[in-house]
Amino acid sequence: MSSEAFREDSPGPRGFSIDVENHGETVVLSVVGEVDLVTAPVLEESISAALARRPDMVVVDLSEVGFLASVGMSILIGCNEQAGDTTRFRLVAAGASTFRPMELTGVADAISIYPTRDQALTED
Amino acid sequence: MPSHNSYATLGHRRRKGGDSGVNAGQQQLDDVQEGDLHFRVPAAAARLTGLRHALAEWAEQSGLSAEDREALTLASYEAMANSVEHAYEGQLQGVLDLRAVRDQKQGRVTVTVTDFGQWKPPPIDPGSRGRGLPLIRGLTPDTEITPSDQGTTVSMSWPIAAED
Repeated sequence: MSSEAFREDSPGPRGFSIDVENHGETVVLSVVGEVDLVTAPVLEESISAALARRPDMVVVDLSEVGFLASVGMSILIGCNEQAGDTTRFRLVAAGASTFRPMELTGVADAISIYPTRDQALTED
Repeated sequence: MPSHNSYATLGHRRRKGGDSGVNAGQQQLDDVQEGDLHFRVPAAAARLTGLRHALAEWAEQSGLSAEDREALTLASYEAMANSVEHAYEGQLQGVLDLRAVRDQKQGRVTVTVTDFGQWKPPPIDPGSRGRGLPLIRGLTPDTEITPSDQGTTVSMSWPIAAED
């Protein structure tokens, strides 16, 4: 399977979706919507599934995430641990709703975060 | 009245003496001052999304900066999530109380989240799930957590920028 998308249409007026793209040995997950107690399990499942294939790199793009609760940050930390030495695990995030809370909780110290997807994909 | 969003039926009052529609199982909230926000709902994760959106909408008129509004919404959500996840463990159904007040005299906005369950002190090793309280404290200049036999109150305040 080269490309797949998870769509969750029901919860909330703003919707939540994760689009998964495979670029060779890199998997990019584009998250759209709000990460909270209701949607976080979907995030965890999607990232875990991508990591289970043991690609070289997994990039989780949070550019279109307008809200990130601590439950989501805990999942990102867990996924970073799951990635271990096998897979480079990177986030794309900027701004008050995602980067700032990850800074406050120390997530930004534990995981490599890039302001743009290009940078996440190209930097060493 | 058909509701255009998920929280319209929760008992939100924008104006004192406004719509008094009583919902089954919904506590009547008679002490809400004009411009304040007060909800009392079942402590369930699915309810928090609507509450968060209502709070964010309310905060638009609060006089807080955009950054503080983001902080208010996230910190309040974390306080509510704490209640949902911990306060009523092993119990069938708990209640959550959310109040947001703009205090012009004191020059601040205060959000209070109350549950009526058991206070769980944060574990020494919070592991992967213990980021809620540190996040609340990081986002809020003034946080007060009051556990009691009856439940726990988390009170969070942000100063309103002086008007020009």
